[in-house]
Amino acid sequence: MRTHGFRRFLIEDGLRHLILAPLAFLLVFPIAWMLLTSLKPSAETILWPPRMFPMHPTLENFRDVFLRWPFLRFFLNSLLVSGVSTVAILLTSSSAGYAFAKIKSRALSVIFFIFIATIIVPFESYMIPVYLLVNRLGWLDSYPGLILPFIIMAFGVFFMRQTIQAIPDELIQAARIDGCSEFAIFWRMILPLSGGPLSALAIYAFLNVWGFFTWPLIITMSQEMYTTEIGLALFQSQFFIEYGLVAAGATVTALPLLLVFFVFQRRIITAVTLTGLKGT
Amino acid sequence: MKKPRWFGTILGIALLTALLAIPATCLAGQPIKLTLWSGYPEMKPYFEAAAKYYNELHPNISIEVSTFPLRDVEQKYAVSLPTKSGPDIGEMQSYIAQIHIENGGLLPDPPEVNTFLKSGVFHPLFLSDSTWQGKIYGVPVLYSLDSLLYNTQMFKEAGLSAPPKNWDEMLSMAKKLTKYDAQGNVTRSGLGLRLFGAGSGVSAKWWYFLKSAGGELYEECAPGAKKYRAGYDNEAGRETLKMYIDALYKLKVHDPKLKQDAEGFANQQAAMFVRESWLVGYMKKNAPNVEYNVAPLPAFKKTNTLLFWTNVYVTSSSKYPKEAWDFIMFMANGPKLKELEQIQYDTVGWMPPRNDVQKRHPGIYTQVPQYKYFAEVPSNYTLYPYPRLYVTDEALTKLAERLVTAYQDKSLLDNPTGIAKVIHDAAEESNQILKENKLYCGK
Amino acid sequence: MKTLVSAGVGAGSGRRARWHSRLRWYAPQWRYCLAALGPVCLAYLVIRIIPIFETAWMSLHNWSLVRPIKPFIGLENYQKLATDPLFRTALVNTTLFAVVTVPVTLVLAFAVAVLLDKPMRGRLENVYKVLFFLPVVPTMVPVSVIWKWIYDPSYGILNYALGFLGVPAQGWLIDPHLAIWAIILMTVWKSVGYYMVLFLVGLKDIPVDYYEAASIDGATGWQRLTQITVPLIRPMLLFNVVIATIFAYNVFAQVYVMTVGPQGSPANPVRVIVLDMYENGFRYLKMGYASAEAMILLMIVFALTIIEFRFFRPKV
Repeated sequence: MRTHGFRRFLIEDGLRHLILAPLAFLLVFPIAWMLLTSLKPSAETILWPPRMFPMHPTLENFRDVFLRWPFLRFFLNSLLVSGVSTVAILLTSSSAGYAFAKIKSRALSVIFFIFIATIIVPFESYMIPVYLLVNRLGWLDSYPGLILPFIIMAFGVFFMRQTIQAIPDELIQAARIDGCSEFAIFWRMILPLSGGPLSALAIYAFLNVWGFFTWPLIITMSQEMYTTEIGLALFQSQFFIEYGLVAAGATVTALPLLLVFFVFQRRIITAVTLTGLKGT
Repeated sequence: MKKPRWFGTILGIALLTALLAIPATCLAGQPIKLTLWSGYPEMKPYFEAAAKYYNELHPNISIEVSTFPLRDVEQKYAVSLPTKSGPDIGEMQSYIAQIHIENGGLLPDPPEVNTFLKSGVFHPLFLSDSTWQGKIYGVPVLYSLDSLLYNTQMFKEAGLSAPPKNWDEMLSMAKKLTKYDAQGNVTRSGLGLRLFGAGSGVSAKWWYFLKSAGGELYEECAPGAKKYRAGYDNEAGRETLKMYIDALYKLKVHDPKLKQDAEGFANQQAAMFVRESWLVGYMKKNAPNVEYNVAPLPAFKKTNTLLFWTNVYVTSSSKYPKEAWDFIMFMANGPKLKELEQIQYDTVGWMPPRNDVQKRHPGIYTQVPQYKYFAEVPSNYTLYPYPRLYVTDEALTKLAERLVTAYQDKSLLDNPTGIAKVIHDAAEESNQILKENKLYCGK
Repeated sequence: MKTLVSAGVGAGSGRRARWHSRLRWYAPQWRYCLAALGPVCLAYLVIRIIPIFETAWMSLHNWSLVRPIKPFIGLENYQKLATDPLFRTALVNTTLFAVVTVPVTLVLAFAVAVLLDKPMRGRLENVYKVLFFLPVVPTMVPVSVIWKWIYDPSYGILNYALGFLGVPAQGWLIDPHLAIWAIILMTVWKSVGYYMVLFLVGLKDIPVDYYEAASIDGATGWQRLTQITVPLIRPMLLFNVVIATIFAYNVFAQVYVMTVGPQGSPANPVRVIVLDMYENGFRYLKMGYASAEAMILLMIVFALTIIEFRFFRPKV
């Protein structure tokens, strides 16, 4: 009996483990290496042959990261920009998505098609005029300037439309007959019913905006407006010779997201799946 | 799923507050905040100390200092000064400043600053190179000559008693100083050459050697003509490139895989290299145990070196030019001059530009001998500045890309035709840039 | 019952006129459209639609931020781009990057998804899923920073590990032949988990009966894979290919991190379109020229998307 089970294990699982385990190790190792390097004092980072674990682990690199540059400020900037953008994206995507899903009109279909077409257009292709616009508004190097391009997300509109389409028409018809305004239908019926997809979209949008690089790079002028991405990119170009310090900077930048991931694993992966489902 | 709703309200309020905060600060009124940008992060302690001292004298004026990587600050000037959204004070090199001077992004100096500048405390080159159409722009804030740094420990081990005076000595000493491993790869470079990284830096470093060979990036076609052409499509240009190729592939005194430039010297992976005095501050901080000294740039057909300096300018974006000039004069000639210069000597590495520093810091070149040949050179040396055309940056950057590719091309070894072609194509591009900007002379 | 809004009066937009001819109960909807959808449409206009046309417009001018006069020059920018060695390098590099990254990432992601589709003893497949998704979580900049360190020619761990296999130390980001591959490897590493999750979703949709029927018919594992899985995963495959291509052509952050600063690696071997655009537009301020590049980027992505839709369209 046992041998039979073991043979099954070998065939079904064993082979898979043989392939997947080394791959998984390769995928995780760089992150672990980043963490380990950040805990080493400078002299240990340049040892050859390199040692895996620090001989005298230290937190001074982390202390220096926050002392030398305002990484906490960078984090708060990213938080503010991503947070506000996410809320805006949720609002705009769902209100537009509802209109496209439940209000029948040829004109609306055309508008929807135009929205979707912008998904394919990379932001980098048209960011120059947006930059000039923000400049004219005097919003260079400011939060409104950082947030402006991210108050809408074409994919979000598409996603919410697909989701809302699944809500039975009868419910909505009934509400309309009862005399509810479209606003009320939207606010009190559609939104609560879309809780799951909304949080999925929130996660998706938040991660997207948090990681965006090109726009904050050209918009920010003063150090106190940097987001974590820009802050780290410039930090490492200046303090390149202090390898432990730079690794600590990378850790500090990546850690919040990693921690959130560990806590909300299931939700985040579900969010990704949901967005993928609607995409196909 | 109530989360989206009140969460949204709170963040909506946050957005509103942020939007309101902008006009609010504009209405602030009495307290004046000046912004200062610099592309030289090592100067931050200097500017911040100056801001602090100034604030003690003028409590209602505060100065916010922002430093950026050099490429980035040049880009920021480029987008912000034309649209009057730049800082009050900007520090930059003369050729970066040139386009902004011509476009009105930078203000000319007021009369009292001019009087100070002409009082003789600065090298004449600072003034002549800061003058445009009869007006002087900016006030020097730091300077250094470009000189050769060499690791004295490594020199002693190799039995070399003095640093090289010319290219022949430089290359033969480099050969003696290079270390190899069993497979013949370079493990310690005898002469650190800048082979890549950070845009125009590569071509700037090549250009010093070009100047020693008698060439020039852009030469004026006739004195005062204000039209130029590339000045390196000649023997000087070819010999300079040949020097690099020989160093890499014939003598094998350097390898791109080694850490290069300052990082290499500090990690003791290079025995010699050419740079400016900020290395003094850098080595003190990052590699205090490395024993090194400084010598004048090795000569070739010409005996010369670069006089590098930056000015601080008041921009036309500034709403408080009077206060900005006052702050600049405070840094250049104020009551805390000695303390500020001390910061430059102790921490920054870039040296104070006035030629009367020894009055306030006697014996500085004995205390820190490495500063000596960054500050002065033997009398037979000529000093030159960067070409002051506003296309210099684009030309140097594009030339850098070509040089980086050329340095990696082993086929250029003992290949005069190949080298000539590379130089010629690069010069064509440099001329093309002039043509696009209507600065090219003749055909 | 809400009264019919007096829609008949006033400028007859197509929307209103149409509704006016519909049954009464649709009437209040246009108010919602105007109030809720209107601002969204306005936002799209201002920060998406108009800028796209503005870019096209600017690409036809000699548009420099520092010069007040911006003359119309027709297609001259495009002509110059055709002979610009830096742009040609960028085009080649970006295409190479996309052509390698997209298939490699997707094939790897698909393979891993197939392997993880069936449960394992001890529900270990979930552990693997989390581990594979881990690189997706941090943003591109910290990932680039850490890989820069791994690729370091003097102190990096990759050279150390390869030393055991007898491979001499390489300048991964410095050697012009290796640099682009180094960035490809890093990007594949980072994205595999994301597409794996999406493929897993697609795989779950395939009914188990199909496989059972095939097994009964005597199909081998490989045949089941190629005849059932691959065809039925086409919708998800199309989706993945399209977004992977868009991301690949817009690659920028990792290249910037690797090449910025005095210790940055040489830019040319990894010069990509967006980097060239950034340099032309925000360094030399030739925004007309950079806009022409942007238009070309746009057209390439557009063309590829249409081709992909054709090629991967699920054959129903």
